[in-house]
Amino acid sequence: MAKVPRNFRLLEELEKGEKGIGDGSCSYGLEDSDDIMMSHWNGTIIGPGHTVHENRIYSLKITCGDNYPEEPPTIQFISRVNLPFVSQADGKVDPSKLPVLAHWNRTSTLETILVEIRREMASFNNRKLPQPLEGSTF
Amino acid sequence: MKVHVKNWHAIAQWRWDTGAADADDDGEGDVCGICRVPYEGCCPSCKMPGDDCPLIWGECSHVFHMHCLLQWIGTSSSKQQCPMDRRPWVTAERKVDRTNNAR
Amino acid sequence: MAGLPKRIIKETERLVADPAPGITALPHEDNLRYFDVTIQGPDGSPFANGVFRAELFLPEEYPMAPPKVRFLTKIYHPNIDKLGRICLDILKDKWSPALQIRTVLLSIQALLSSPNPDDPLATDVAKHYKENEKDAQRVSREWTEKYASA
Repeated sequence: MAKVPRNFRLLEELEKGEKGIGDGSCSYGLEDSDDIMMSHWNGTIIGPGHTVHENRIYSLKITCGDNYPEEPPTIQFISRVNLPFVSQADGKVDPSKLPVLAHWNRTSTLETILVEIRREMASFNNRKLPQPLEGSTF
Repeated sequence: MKVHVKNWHAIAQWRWDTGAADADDDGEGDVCGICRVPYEGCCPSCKMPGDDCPLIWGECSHVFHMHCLLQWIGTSSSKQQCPMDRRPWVTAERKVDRTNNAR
Repeated sequence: MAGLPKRIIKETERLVADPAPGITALPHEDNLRYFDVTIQGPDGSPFANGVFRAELFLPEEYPMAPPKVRFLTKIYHPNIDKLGRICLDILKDKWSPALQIRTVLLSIQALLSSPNPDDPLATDVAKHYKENEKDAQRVSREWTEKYASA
């Protein structure tokens, strides 16, 4: 099977992201539209309903290194959020604590990551965690 | 002098009768314009050349491995056009029959 | 080379042994469907004397689907956007399996000589080309000198 190289894989993801994914509760795009290496992305997650996150809008930074998609991107929350896999010092996501990053494979995408993080927000353990002031940032 | 023939090997060669074969635009000779394998070879999905991997002729005079052409025509991006001239593909029925019978 | 279609092997051999003038294409050792490409700007165009880096990938469906190509060198051209994506009909709805890597790269080189501002990808550049072609070509030349000098 043909192995899609990093840049063409990211172009595909960009085009998908521009069209809009799923129900719009997760989205992403390039931070800078002429970043020819497509390394720096912005992601947005709308907090899942019936949880403490309901209606909150979370922004995060996604950085795709040279070895993406062999290696997962690094994720850092810009919006303050209290989740077990997010450092309360700087918002960085600890890849060992988020299964989609810990058990990364090259078929996973930026979309999968955002959807998984949103699912974690709605999980039994996380849905009622006390949260910082809405709109505050790291 | 007496000659005993102990054994012999018959060798035959065959070619598809592609009619007046168009010289390929880049001098590669008689190759299928889709897979670039000679007409007498087989398409990438077959193992044995010959009747199991026949050629197909278009009314436009272009010739391909049948399997290659059908795979292309089966894609939506082909718009059922000949890969060479983008005219609607029309299979030249007669020529296929004549060749199958004659060879 | 396991699983690499004969056609791709043949095309690669020919690209290396008998390259088209002003064009190079070398497959990556670890991915023989992925090529490093250079295209020389055509003489007489604002891109003359520039060497533009590009990348090309042959998807699983190739040759039933077109190769994917994009420029890595910045280029001021109405049919090429900021990410190097190219608006060219044969890379999209006018693809035919009778086309090859070589013909695709030659067509891209030809696109540099004949920009088409009526079918733009980079709308701001296209506007510039339509309103003041001379000045737009000046910017294209500047960018060529700045980003594409060999």
